[in-house]
Amino acid sequence: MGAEADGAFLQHVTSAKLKLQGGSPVALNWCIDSVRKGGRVSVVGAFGPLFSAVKIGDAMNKGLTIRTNQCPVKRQWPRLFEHVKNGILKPSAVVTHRLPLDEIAEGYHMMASKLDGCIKPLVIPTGVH
Amino acid sequence: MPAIEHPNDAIVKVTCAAICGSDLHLYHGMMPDLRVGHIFGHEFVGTVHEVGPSVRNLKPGDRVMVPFNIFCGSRYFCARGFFSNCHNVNPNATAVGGIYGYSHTCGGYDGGQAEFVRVPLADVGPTRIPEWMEEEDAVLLTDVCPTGYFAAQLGEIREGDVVVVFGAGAVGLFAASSSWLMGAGRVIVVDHIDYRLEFARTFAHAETRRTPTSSAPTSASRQWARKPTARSSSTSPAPS
Amino acid sequence: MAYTRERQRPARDPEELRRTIPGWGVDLRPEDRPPYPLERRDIETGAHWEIPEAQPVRGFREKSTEHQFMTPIFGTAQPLKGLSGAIRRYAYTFSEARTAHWLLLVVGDRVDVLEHRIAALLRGRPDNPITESGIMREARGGAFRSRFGQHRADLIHQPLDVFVYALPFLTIAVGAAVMVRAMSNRRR
Repeated sequence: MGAEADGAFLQHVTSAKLKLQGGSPVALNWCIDSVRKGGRVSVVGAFGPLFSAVKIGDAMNKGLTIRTNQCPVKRQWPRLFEHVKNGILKPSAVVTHRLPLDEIAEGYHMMASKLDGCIKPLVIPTGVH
Repeated sequence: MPAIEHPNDAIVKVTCAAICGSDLHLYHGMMPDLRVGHIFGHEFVGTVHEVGPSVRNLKPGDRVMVPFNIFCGSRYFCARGFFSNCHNVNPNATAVGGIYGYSHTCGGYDGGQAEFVRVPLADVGPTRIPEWMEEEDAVLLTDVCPTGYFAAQLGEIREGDVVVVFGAGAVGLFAASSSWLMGAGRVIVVDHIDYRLEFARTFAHAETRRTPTSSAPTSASRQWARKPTARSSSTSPAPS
Repeated sequence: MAYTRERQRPARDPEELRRTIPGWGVDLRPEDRPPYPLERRDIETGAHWEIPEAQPVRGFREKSTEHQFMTPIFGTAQPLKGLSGAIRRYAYTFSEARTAHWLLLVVGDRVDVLEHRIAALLRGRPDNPITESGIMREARGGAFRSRFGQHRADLIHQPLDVFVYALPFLTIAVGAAVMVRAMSNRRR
């Protein structure tokens, strides 16, 4: 979810508000700063196609390995299904809200403004359950 | 109501969908070529409502979970396992594969925060939900849980590594949990919101740190992870 | 003082981790992790085609200049139309490597919003920023508790969000006011 990382006002304004960057690279820059020399950084989530102001110079000077991709979901399923079946992982534990589809606008506002302890809201279409 | 556009399409009646942190980038207008009327939602499960003539692996009534990637399964990138980078499903951009409900930059497919959704290449993408799996677990497995696990995998975590996860949203929480599965020695989650840090402590058993409000995370994080000799990985599903 | 060879604070004992964290170390071996190695050619995908059959193209469908031909599968949602469609069509004549491509698409998006707001107004069903924006969620409680006392870093720019959301409405209002004034000046 890197595109809206928060914590640096100028980065946020130029990216999320003015859409001049593909995403706010705040978290990515923090990764580059905090990992030890020779360490590894992995980047997942969502970035737009425009450029972002990433500290690539520091990454180079520290000899980092940055690995990134959109997740190929189906490749993870066999192993993750085993973990869920064996009780090691319980993905639905992060669900915090369940809303009808009609209230999805409110769901988005809640998620965007981080209201009411929102981590993961589910949306149920009308007529289901 | 979506229609069958291709012989291997299926129309799925959605029974449960989720809002993802990455949907907020659409919500805030950060993805180019996002058209008014576009239906969001790349995390959904449902029952098959209708199938095209060439669909073999599914039939109406099947309960399915659908990965957020749309991919053809046969050509250059898919043949090498890069399902999220398929070149055959997105005419609008070569830099990204096909994703449900993520603007025309990702192929122009309406998403699953709806009652019905068009699922292209139904023999390749969707899988029947196992009998023993709960629906809410299945919907989390369509995106956030595998993405967090994949983030940990990309970090090439070895036994005893110190892992720092920036962002305690759903993906960050799964990245932290997955880091333990891969043998991390310490897992530290960083965020700027207290309730998310609390979740990281209880769900992911992680140590937590708040993002400093000054511009000195570097010195702070060095204290957290006791570099320089600690091997560390940082994953970046960021606060969103 | 000097930095030493070994790490200054050792990681926790693996046996303790195994006892306290469910599933610790089950994927310790890289071979047990599904995306390892990342590039693999032996995965059965369910595809029963070498090349997927091509989806019929109805009318104009935009395509990136980086693609040699139209992809066999594509989305059909929200075909191009109006001024925003013209801007987007022009954007797709630029390579993806050009900033102009993406900035024109972003401009097209903003024009699209304006077109739809104006069309809704003219249809007699204007967009309602109170009930349709999700702001009513604030009335359900927790608005103050969620924002204060949580040490949040995003409060500083939240007022900007209100301005960004209101901008299309303000643009229409200002444009309408300018038009009305021009028409009344011409009558005099």
